Amino acid sequence: MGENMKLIKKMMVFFFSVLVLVSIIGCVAQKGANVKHVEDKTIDASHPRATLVLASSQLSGTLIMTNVRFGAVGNFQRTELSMQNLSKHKLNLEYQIQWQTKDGFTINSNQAWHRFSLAPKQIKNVQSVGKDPDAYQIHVVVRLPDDFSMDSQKQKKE
Amino acid sequence: MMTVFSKFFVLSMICLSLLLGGCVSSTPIGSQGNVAVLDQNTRAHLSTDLTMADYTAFAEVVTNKMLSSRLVQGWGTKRPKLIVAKLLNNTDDESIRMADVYDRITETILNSGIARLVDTSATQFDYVVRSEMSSTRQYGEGGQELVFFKLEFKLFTLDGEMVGQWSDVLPLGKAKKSVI
Repeated sequence: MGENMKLIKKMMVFFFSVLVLVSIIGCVAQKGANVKHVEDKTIDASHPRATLVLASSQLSGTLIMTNVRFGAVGNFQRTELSMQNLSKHKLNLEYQIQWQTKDGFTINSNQAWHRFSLAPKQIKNVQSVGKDPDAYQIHVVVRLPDDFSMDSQKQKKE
Repeated sequence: MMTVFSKFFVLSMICLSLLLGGCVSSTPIGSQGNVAVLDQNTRAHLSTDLTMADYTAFAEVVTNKMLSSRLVQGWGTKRPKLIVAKLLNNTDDESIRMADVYDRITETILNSGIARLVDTSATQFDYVVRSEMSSTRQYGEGGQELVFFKLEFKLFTLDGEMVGQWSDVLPLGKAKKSVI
């Protein structure tokens, strides 16, 4: 009986320690100051000069960026990439292409969100010119429209 | 036996409450009279009128097309002198702030460094950009509305020859008014 009590006490101490450890580790904030970005299923950084950021977890596995191309136009860099809808539903989205220098500094130019729709399985090309001779790489952000119009109301119903 | 279990139970409850409650943000939610600061690039519309973000998008798309053209690519580092003529408002809406659209266009061209912008009073220049905004509007049942805005750039040489033309269209749709 004494041996069993000791065993139970040891097990309790073990479980208690695990619980304390989990409660401490669980509250530690993730650090990311020294990394380009934290790996996440909504980020595609497989291309050396183009990063896709899906600003909605709903788009993960639904929308992918393919066939990224860069080329020179005069003194500037031009990019063209394809957006592919993998789902069976129509997607109403908006995208923004942010140009950066080789060192990762954002080019200070006015950026606009551009609306686009993708039918089921459709592939659409989008293009942008880095309007600065130092523009080198891009961040493509895609999100659900931030809108009060009928498009978003329709999407909510779907 | 009970004492050990009771201690374990109490300690476990404390840890669990820390685990569940410890990570909750305690940021206070303020009340600001239902007014919010939005994303500066938001394309939200409350009516079928153009917003500042639309002007930016227009300027970006049309200058993208202009900079990608063979003619402008051929300029290289020459930086020709360009006059951006006054923007014509050919839409059905006289309240559009054409000066803001014009500023967005000149800002985009100037920041790109592709050309030197000179005033309309300048006597020495290489090209003139004439731009025009137009619109079509349709009304449907229950307040439905469909508007197409178009911004067009035309590039002329000193001789008056048109050497480039680029445009972009922005459709805005308004849904039926809700019965309720």
